[in-house]
Amino acid sequence: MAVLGNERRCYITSTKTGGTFTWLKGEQNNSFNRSAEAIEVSDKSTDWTQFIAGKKNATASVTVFADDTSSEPQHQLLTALHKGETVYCFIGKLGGTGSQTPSEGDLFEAIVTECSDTNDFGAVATRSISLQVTGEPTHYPTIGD
Amino acid sequence: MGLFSALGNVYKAVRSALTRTGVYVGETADYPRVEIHSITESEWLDKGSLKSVSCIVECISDKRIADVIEMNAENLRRMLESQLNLDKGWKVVGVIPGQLQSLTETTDTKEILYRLLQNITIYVQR
Repeated sequence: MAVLGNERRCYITSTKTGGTFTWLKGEQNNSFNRSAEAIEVSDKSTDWTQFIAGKKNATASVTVFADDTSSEPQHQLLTALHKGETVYCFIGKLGGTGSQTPSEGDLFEAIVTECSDTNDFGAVATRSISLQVTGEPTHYPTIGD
Repeated sequence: MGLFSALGNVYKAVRSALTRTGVYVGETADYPRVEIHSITESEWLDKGSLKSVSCIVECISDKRIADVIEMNAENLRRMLESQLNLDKGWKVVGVIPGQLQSLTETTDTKEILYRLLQNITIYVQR
């Protein structure tokens, strides 16, 4: 069944397997992108090209209203960018009010590749954050073997 | 994301900030007066609780245009410099004055009215 984008939020957590999910306060929108390389293995047996899947890749991006409070998750992302450290994020829906269990979405480890601030006159300051996922993201519902 | 509205809260705070002696504020037919001409709350701006409330604060005088200009300046000073006191967990993120429109109403059978309409955008967060 379709779900509103409002319900699929970006959270920061402390481990790849769970932890406490803290919503990235001020979030306006987010996107999560998965891709796989296509390696051509065509031969002369057919006129059509043939491919196998190669390396897979995932990236994420999130736009927030900028909040530099040191106790808020945005500061954690900025710190990770400055220090070259990875962060753990979850983009999706947690099950039920107050739940800390992912019901649908992706839990991943990533490096922060971009954090751009825009400060326009007469508007709330915004920040755009880009994340490069390292390793395989854990999808919910789980992907079977 | 909750089902909260900031409209009533902002209206109360603006009305309170504008109230002072020498000027009628609110529902009355006397002059000089300041009215909250209209107030509009936006949809949610993020997945949390950020909203903008746009209001038009109107100054009216039946004497002279200088009166309404001075009243408007005092309105802005009160809204920008004094804290707009919101309750129920709402906080003001920013107060942005916008477009200012001047109107002079003249009719043969009526007195001349000098009106100034000031657009103001207030960003609030809960």
